[in-house]
Order: sequence, then C-alpha cells, then structure tokens
Amino acid sequence: MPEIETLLYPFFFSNNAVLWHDNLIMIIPPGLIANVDYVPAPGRTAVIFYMMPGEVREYNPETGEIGVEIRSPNVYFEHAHPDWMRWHIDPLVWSFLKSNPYTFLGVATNEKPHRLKIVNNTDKFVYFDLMLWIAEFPSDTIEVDGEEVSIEEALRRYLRGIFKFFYRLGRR
Amino acid sequence: MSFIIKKRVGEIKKALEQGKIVVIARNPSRIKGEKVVVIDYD
Repeated sequence: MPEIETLLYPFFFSNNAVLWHDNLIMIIPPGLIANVDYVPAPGRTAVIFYMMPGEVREYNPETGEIGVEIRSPNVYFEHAHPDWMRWHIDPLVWSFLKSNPYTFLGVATNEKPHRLKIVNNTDKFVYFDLMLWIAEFPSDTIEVDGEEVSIEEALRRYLRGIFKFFYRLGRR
Repeated sequence: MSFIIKKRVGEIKKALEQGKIVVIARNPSRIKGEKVVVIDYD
C-alpha cells in the first residue's frame, strides 16, 4: 500500500519544496478554549501531509513535571483546513491517538492557515504534543508550461491528472 | 517522570495563569492565536 508521500514527492521535489516537520508542544490550562492557527513563513506555501498526535499527560505548572497519561474526551481539538478539510473533533482518546500517522492533505498559506481549536474541559493542566509534516515551497506560485499558477492550483491539477490517468485506464 | 524545558517553567506558569495556551515550537512565527503564547525550545 503506497503512502501518500509516494504520490506527492514528484510534485514536491520537482518544484523545489523542502521537507520538514514542526512539533508543537502544548500546555493547556484547565477550562481553556483557544484558537491556534498554523501558517507558513510569509510569501511561502506549505503542503501539510501528515499529522502525528503524541502524548497526552498531566502537567505540573509549579515544577514543569510531565505526569501521568490522560485519556479523556474532555480534552480535544477541533480542526479544519479551508477547502481541504471540514471542521471536526478529535478527542484525545485511543481511537484518535492510535490513528498515527494521521493522513491529511491541505495547502496552507498566510491567508489559509490550518486552524485548530484546542479545548481542555478537565480540571488539570494538560501536556499534548502534535507533529505536522510539511513540504514548504519557496514562493506562493510556480511556473508550469509558461503559466504562473498557485501551488494549490498546481497541486489540484496534479491530483486531477492522476485521477484522469487511472479513470481512463478503468474505462478500457 | 520527565520535565518540560526547566529554564522556561516560570515563563510557562505565568502564561498559564493568564489563561493562555503555551505552545513550544521551533518556529514561533508560524503559530498564531489570541490566547496563545509561543516559546522556542531554547
């Protein structure tokens, strides 16, 4: 079974993208609801193609100690990506945490961030880490056959091309 | 048990007391949010 990057690497590397990942270590106070947006550097476009949820643990704000594991539907995040992923809830319970890596595809610009809403409905301080895998392009556009197009439009066309190739095979 | 970045414990506590989420990330400029305090690993 090919992983999603098998399909995406030709698009990434023929257009000078660089791969990396960002680890967000979050400390969430009790009762918090907070919006967190993830954006690429100004003038760049990022394709986010995996998320990897990590640990959920109690946090002691006095000592900085990361304590026992928490599995609770009372700690969760909702997230969405404009035009790529609808809003939905990810409670930090096993069924979600075991979906790892969490396959995802979305194109982020400064105008279209990946949007997270973090919620802690427990009475504890919570530690949670989340890793994002990213291909970042040096600009917002690329030139293809003499035409300047956005990274997002180019990716849509690339995926459409893969679809059309296999669709035509299926018609025979 | 493990510990968060020791030299940042006070800074993190202060932000938490103000009702903010603390996000530790290598690239703070990529994290945005009104109730968010972003600190680097260093």
